[in-house]
Amino acid sequence: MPAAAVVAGVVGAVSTGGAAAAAVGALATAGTAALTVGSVASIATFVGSVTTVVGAVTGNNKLLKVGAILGVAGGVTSMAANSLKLFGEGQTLSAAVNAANAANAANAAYSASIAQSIPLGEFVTPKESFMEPLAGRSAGGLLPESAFIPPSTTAQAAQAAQAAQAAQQTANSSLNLAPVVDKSLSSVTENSFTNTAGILTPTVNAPTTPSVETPGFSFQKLSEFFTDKNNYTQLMALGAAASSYGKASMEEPLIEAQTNLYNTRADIARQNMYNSSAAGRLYGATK
Amino acid sequence: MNDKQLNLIAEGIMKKLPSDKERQAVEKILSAALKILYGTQEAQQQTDEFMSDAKSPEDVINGVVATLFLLYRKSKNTMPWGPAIAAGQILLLEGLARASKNGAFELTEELVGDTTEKYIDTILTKLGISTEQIIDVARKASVLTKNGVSPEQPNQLAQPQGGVQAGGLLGGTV
Repeated sequence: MPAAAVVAGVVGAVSTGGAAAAAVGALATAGTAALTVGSVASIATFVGSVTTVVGAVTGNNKLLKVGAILGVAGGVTSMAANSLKLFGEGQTLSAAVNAANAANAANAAYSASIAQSIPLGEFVTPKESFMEPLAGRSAGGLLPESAFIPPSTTAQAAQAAQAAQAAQQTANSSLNLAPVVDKSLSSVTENSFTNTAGILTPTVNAPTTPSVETPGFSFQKLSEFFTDKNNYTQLMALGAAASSYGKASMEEPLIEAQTNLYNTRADIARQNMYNSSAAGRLYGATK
Repeated sequence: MNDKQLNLIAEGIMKKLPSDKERQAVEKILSAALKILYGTQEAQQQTDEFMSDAKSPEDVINGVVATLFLLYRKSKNTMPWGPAIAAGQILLLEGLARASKNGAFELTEELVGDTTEKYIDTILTKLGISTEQIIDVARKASVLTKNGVSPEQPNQLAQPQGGVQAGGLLGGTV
């Protein structure tokens, strides 16, 4: 087999150089990834695609069936998570934006209360000259005009400050967000909180050696779950969709694989017949 | 298994990818992998630790997974794992073919199937994905599928039932 023939067959014109064996050795890394429902579902889709094809060509029914279910489950859930904003991503996004809103509101209140505690007579320039450059701007994050009205008592300002701080902490801790004080709401975007499909963002730098064993993934365990009668009943809609989806999506590669396999076997058979024939032996001897 | 069958699987994987975008991503990852495995001297030095002959299918799996994680780091953690897993499967076939040619083991259909299963187990576990998470995805998909959503109907809005609260997750304005 020529160097990297399987890979080159699908990549095209790739310079492959030497004939070293494929990468072998101990695992260098194990990443701890922040997995959203969407990213897990996207990965499931690809795993489904891979395993159905391998299952179809090798005749491995477990790969074929579980792959079909994974393909459907991953496709449906990935689409729902990323397009319809259901499940974790949408929930996180909504909550995060709400928290950012609350934090901004708290920030404005806090700023106002701080300003109220400033003895105006000593530090604040006349209202007209100070406020003029800000005319026309909205109050978000800036000191509102009312901030320059002296509070009736310092105690009221302190109370307002405490309340604002408490509101801000609550807003931040509700989703364990970094403080968003002094940041406008517009900077909180969907992409700030969700991954695009399949792109994982590790929350922890990859260690050089795996140190913690996670429960892990087991294809066998998944297969047993899907083939369990009770679970299948529970997932009946998915099973039906998988059958339909699998039939449609696997038909072409299956037929092609079977055709090619037939051709391959026919080639081998013809070659064997040719080799075993007198003419073939003669041809081989004189070649 | 012969080379034709292995190529069939590789081609089948490429055909079964959802779109040209994913196909291009897989090709890009494969090209990057080849450059690391067979490319410049500098790149080879970086991968010396797993550039030895495979003695078993497990060796090939470990090598492929290590290569994928190396590529992930080189991509500054932006490499999408879906296409990477598909590319890894093709690299796996390549590695199995090479090891088989070197006499490490006989390449049978059963071995390719079993090794694929172990490869999926290994890569998903290393990514921190558990069986339960995949089952959770399936359960969610089952609820959505009951409501008529399928991968081919991306514009159809689901009306979640059962365990999924309708509308509340979106908050109306997001």
